[in-house]
Amino acid sequence: MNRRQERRLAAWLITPSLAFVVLVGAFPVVSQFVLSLTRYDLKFPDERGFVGFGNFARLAGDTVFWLDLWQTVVFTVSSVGLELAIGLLAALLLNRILRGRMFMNATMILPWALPTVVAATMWSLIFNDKIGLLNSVLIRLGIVETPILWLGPGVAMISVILADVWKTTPFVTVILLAGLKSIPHHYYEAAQLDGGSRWQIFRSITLPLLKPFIAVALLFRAMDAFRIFDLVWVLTGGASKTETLSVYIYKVLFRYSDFGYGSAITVALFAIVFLMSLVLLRFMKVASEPTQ
Amino acid sequence: MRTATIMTIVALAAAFALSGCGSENGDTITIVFAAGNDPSGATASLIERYNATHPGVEVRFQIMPANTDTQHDAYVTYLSAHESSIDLYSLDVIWTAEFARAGWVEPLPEAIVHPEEFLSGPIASVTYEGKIYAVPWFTDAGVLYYREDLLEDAGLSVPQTWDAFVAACEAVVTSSDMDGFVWQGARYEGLVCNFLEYLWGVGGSLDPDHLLAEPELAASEITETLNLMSGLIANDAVTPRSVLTYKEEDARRLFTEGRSLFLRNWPYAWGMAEEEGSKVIGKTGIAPLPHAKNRTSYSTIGGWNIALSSFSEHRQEALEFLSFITSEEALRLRAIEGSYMPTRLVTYEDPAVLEANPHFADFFEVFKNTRNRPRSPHYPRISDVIQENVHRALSGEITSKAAAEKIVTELADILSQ
Repeated sequence: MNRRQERRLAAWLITPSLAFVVLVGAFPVVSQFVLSLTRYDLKFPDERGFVGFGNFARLAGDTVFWLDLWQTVVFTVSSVGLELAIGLLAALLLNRILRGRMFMNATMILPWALPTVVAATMWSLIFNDKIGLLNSVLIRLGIVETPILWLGPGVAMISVILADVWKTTPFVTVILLAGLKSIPHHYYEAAQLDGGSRWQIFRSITLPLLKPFIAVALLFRAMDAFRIFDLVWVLTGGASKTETLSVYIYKVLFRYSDFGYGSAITVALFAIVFLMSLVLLRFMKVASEPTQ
Repeated sequence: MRTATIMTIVALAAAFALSGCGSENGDTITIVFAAGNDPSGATASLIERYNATHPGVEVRFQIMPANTDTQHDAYVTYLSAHESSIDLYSLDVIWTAEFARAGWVEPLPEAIVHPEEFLSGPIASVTYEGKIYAVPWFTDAGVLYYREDLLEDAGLSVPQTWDAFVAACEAVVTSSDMDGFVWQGARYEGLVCNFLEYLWGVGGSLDPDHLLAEPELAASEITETLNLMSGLIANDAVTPRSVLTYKEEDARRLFTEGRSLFLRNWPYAWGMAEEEGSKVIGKTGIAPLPHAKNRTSYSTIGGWNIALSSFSEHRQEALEFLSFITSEEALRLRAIEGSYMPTRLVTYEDPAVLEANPHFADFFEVFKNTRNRPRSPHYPRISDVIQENVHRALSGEITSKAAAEKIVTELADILSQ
């Protein structure tokens, strides 16, 4: 069989899987777009119909949407920022361990291995103001005098971020650790021979070579953090300024049975995350270009 | 050997296949009744009795998950798909408008429900645009629980106005490990129930006519209510700030641990206060919630009603069963065996019911003055608007006045759609 025939055979063989992926992947997305252009509220079955961009016009004036969007941004920037910083530190430390490495790695991964709902339930008990571990430790150590209402007004977002950072930093650590391991030893040896300080080595060798890995971690974490639902839902239900876009979408779809409008918000969220990932991918491309 | 094995397998498969069909023979009509579980078994035994005395009809009890929202989602899914296999649905009091407007449940014939036989609150909850869509099955309402012993020691009677109430708290609560009054202040449906009780108690309301015709007055009533509620939280002797994260069980636990003088909760908490493990056995009293001077106390209604599906294929038989399961006799049995609060007036005077549940007499006093949450197909949105703005005001994130104005504006917008 010549090259062309081989390629054609390959195309035919791939077609069934490709068709399946397109169907399963593209169909829901397309139908969501179509739904977002309709008025479709289960409670008013007689009012169903095409409304063009009506749902999006409503979205533009929906203060809850904009507020939740802002709260989602605050959450994403804070938790991803913290996770990158702490993850990098952890990776650097873990990279230096020679003995007990497997044990340390396994322990480090543990929070990430827990199902989010389980972790969230655990944290809601820790954050409980009367019987929770956090307050009891803080009060006993004399750091605070009166119990803090961790899941209440003013502090709730901090608690949600804390729980998320605890849970997903391991993900960043794993990626960055792999990155650190990929840096050839002789770069460091050469730098030390040249008399570079630790900080100079870090800045000129480690960090630039880690950039692609940081970019990957950043991309994944940003996309995930922007869509967060279960952690917020279990900890606060969205109260006290922690309601994120996903929580709002859930409410519109399942509490209000408003599938048209809910789809419009979903399309908006999709667009934002898509744009965000395009920007980050650009950053990745720039980052992985060879540096001097 | 191989042939024998194959024959056995084929025979077994055929047997299984055939046993699948023929369970409903042409003569028996199956009526399916979907509702949350009744752990007391009263409902199941009522259904058994009905089936025994009604040859040709078989009623099946389809037990739904305990979580109210899960039931709601399941029913909305079935009914949007015009599912005909379920004939009767047990509906939460706040769903009537939604299900009626969507055409999922039908108005009932007059013979099925005589309003004068029932408590007025539940009857209002099954009415939409002047027609009755369901039969009230059992009811629930917000109630004030108090520590009889502590009030007696302080020489105080049960407070009826908010001023007297706060004074009682200040007199009795003198140490920091005791709270005056715990209720449900988390941002969820329960907050709406609590908020409305305060609002009605100062003479306000969220009645659509009132909101649309007199928005400034409605806003000022809500402002007054939010100030009252914030005042309770700000007062160290009354409500702890952590109430902003409390749902029913959080508040109830504090009370049954003996750490609160007053509790606002549903009737179920009575059973918990009197059971083993509670630190307040025999020390609890029940009363209507306080009101503002010269006003009346009202409680928010909870409970469940039974409606007929618009897609049922056996209307006649379903209605007959509906009459039975909501009859005096059925409600009496459920009251005695399951402590389900009846919706018929006469059941509260039944000696057997009162013997099994002596506290029903106290609850009845509260039930005479119950009111409904706003009745609209858009209720979930309305609830979320109230929840969010009330919670923000109580958290101190916005002023009572700002919250009140937001509630009035947004509710007016939703209600006029």
